[in-house]
Amino acid sequence: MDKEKLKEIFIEEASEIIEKLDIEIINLEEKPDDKDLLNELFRGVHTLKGSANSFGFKRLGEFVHGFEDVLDYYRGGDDVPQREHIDIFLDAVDVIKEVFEYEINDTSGVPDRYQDCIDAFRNLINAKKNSSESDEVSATLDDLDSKDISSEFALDDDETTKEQGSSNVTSLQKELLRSLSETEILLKIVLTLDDDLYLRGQDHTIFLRLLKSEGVILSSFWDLSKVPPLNELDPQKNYIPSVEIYLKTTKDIEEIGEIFEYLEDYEYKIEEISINFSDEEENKEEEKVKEKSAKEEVKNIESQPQAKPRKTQKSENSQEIKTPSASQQRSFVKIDTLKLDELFDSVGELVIAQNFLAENEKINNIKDENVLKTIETLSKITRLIQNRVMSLRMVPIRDTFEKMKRVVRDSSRKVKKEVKLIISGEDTEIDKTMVDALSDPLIHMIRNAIDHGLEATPEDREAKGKNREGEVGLRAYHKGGNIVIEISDDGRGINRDKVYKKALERGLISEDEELSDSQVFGLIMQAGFSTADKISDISGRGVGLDVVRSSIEALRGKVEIESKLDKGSKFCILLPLTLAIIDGMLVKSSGETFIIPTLSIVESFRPHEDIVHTAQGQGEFVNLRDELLPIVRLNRILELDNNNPKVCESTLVCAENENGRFAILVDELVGRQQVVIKTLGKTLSHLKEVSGGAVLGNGEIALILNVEGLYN
Amino acid sequence: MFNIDGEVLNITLDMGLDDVVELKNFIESRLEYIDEIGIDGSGKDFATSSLLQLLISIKKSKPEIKIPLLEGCNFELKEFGKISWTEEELVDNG
Repeated sequence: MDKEKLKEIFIEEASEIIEKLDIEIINLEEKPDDKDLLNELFRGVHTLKGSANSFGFKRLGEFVHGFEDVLDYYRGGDDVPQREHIDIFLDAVDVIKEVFEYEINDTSGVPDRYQDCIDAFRNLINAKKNSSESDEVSATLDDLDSKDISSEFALDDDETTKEQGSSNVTSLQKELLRSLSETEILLKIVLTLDDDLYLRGQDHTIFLRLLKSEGVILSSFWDLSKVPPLNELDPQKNYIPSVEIYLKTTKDIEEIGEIFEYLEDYEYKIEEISINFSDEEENKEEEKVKEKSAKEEVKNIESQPQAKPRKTQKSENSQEIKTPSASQQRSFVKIDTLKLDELFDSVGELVIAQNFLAENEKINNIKDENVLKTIETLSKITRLIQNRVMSLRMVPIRDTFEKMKRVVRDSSRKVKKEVKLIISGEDTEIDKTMVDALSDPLIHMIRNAIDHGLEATPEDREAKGKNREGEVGLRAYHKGGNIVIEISDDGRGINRDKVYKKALERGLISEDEELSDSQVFGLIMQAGFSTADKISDISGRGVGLDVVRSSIEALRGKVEIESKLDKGSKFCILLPLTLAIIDGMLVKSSGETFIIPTLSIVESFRPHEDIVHTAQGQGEFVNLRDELLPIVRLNRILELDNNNPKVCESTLVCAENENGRFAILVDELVGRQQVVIKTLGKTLSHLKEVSGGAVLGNGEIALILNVEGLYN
Repeated sequence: MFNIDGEVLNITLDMGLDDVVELKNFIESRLEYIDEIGIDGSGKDFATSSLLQLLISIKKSKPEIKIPLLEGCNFELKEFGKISWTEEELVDNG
């Protein structure tokens, strides 16, 4: 793998780690004594440090190292981080993000707050150390004598013999072990790096430096037997097949193993060396070696054949190698989203081809049971593949929601309001493309809710009989074939009259226009519209909500606003479930075929004459089980012709959109079909009644109806 | 990174890979005139292991050359601890 590819992987993985840091710190603030959370956070920072140093990103490595020390302090004791410490952590994450950008863009210097943050780390640790210095306990090797650690690290007989065979090493190990304090362990790290080591941007010395930052390198043994004479030597090729390093450290194997994360599994091995002094054998020392692949343990993926579990005499005292059970063994691969999109497109074509086959008249006329059965099987398999491929793109919206905790924390502090974020439906799955595009609109809407939605001060809320702490809600759920994301607040609500007046002043509406509440509230998402008397630095610039609307519309979604004065507001983002394939009902109208998304259809029926009514000036209605549904004639609304077929001789498709249920009058139902959505291009994109096109199985092209646009 | 003083070539340990390539090219044609390779500066560690293998390669090519750093089978570095190898490794088996 070349250096650029490795760097690409590093950037991707580091970005993921950095993105999660915010969330983990906010979660830690909520549960400061949760050691698992702290360990999770530490692991991310530790990995980031190791990989940054591996790539020579010294500024990032140095900064993260300081942060790691602080986290390590909290990991090692009972002290829990207070709010002011969380502030330092969050500041550190901001700086990490900036330094990371500096590093990948090769920008010189460091961000403004770089040194301030490092000083803050140092001050924090010094303050803590001063208060706990007296608690430190020193230990000597003699302490080890009283412990029966042999049972912890007991080996198979054959393995013990194997280790004892290298007598030089074991005597060295004994010597090195004597220099350990009680909190330290001795690790033997063997690097067996490939000959393209230098070309990959790696070097033994890089790993030595990283190891040095985690402990003390006592000794190293270099196999230099393969180094050729000068006339055969290529200095850019590695001729050192193995280097054996002895490290004295307080860190465990897993942590040290993270240093080698970018190496192939076979390129390194880490063992912990321990010693047992047995009284019965008159000080005859027997060495036992606990060995495991650090990478295997860290990633917890699968056990390696050579890392078999050790036999233990006292299982309750043994430090067993944890191997995941079969049910826990899940492995993951990263896939380039471009490849995923290509797969998605190919499946789309497969769906079209399968439909073509299923609809082919000649094939359908073959009265051979086997042929028909095969086609049916093919249809089922195609649908299965399609669903599975679809599911590859679906991810829970949880991470996006979690990120909003930081937004709420920062924004509420800036405007000095007490805010509680209530999240629900975070497991709702949504197309990955949409998740990525949703982050910025959500941030803006959350800031907007805090800045403008909630009352100006906690006292104002109290005066209205509300809690001092304002509530901002974030909720996701499925509705009528859509994903809905709600951003709500229990604040002052939108002043309809104020919005209306402002819209008039700005010429956005005319006086004779009759607007519903929803339409008036929608005006606040017009470009340049802001009712804020005072523009703050977190929202209210009058451009944000317009950008939000555009971003959502680009995802074929829309934003709806509900609000009640002094009760609060709710912004609902409605998004399609996916952007590529829909399940549709094919209908005919005036000889043309159209597709209605099945998820919007409630039922279809041929009405009896008795239940069809006409209201003067209000159009036609059908009374479906005591519910009056307005009738939308498809041929008229799409201006296909001026025909007026009798309702009772036509078919009605009961559909549902955000404005309620209505009946679409069509000539006939053709059938249900999966179709791949094709965009219409600029010429037809302005048609609100149509959302896309599709190639049908018979090669015919049909328009996909936008149920939202058919009836308002 | 390196300079030659009569028959003594002085190098520093903190040279990078490119410098090692340059040093190899420099020394290859002059090996017979160089009697000793000394190390300039103290308290520094290897910047690249390629330099270590170059020194060993030189020693294998010209066993009589004096490289004080390689006298014995180990040397101690400030941060990398004691670096050791076996005597046989200095013998060119090729």
